[in-house]
Amino acid sequence: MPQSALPRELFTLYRRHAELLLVVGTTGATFGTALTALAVWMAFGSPWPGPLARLFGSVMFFYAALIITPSIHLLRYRLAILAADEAPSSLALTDMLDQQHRFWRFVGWASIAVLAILFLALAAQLGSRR
Amino acid sequence: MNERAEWCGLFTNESARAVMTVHAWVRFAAIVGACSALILLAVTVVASGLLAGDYPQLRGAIAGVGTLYACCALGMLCAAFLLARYSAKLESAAKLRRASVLMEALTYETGYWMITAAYAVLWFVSTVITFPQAVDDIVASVRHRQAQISAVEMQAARAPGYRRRVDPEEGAAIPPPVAIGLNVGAIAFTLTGAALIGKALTPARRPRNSLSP
Repeated sequence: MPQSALPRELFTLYRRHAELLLVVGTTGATFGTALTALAVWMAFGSPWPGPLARLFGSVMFFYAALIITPSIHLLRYRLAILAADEAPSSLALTDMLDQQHRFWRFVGWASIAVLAILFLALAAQLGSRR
Repeated sequence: MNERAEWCGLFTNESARAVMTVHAWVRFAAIVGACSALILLAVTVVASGLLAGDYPQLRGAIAGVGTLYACCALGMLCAAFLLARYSAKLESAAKLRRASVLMEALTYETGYWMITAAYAVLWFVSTVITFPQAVDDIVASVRHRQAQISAVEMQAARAPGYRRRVDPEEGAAIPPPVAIGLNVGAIAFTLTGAALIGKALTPARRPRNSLSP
């Protein structure tokens, strides 16, 4: 089936997202980079004992990765929107949906992991009180 | 030309499938967001009430902070509602294979990203403002702890038969199995974080014959 030219109204709507995605993605990426710098300081420059400092630094780096990863997905989603704006097609729409899917899938799995950790911590807290 | 003929090239099987998977994850995020917002609202109201009772002289400040958290929770609820509507429209768009429904869904998505962008900027600005004070607090607490250790060491040194313990800052006070565990944990966290970022940077694999309807 030949690729038909898609109405531009759809991509006009998507272009509105591009500016908002730039704000959110850039903010997240900047914050994540700052946290990474803090993690490096905690691991190698802080006054704590060596192995403990490295663990703190690595946990901080993991937290930074949890912020940087969705920011990268958002910025790639934005790039897919801009590419589709240049050459609208159903393949371009599928690319945008793929990027969007990657973002929401990451947010979903990260939420599940955080909820699991919270429940475990709560259970441990309740268990230790008894 | 009716809508179906004009938009007939938009919804291939692959794009419809992609829309359905996005809809599922968006609905999950909406549910988690709504529950988190309601819990935050409930905790804010209860905590504000309890604190106002215990510290009547600080009622104004407690009310102000409580209002801030309540507004944050209400904003989260609005974002969750928009996500839920977006998810419902995505599902309709994929089932009906109509791009006009997808366009309606995009308006909800725009609203959600507006709220998220506002929150992101406010969160970043507040972190930048409070970061220097937070670093000062951390350094002060570490120095206070070091001073406490030194005071205990000096007091113990006056006791007869005292043997000086190894300086904890050298790390030798940590037993080797614990040190190994801490190092393994550090490596695991670092590799996991690096893997997450690496996976985000790699392009998505596309299956062959992806243009087939």
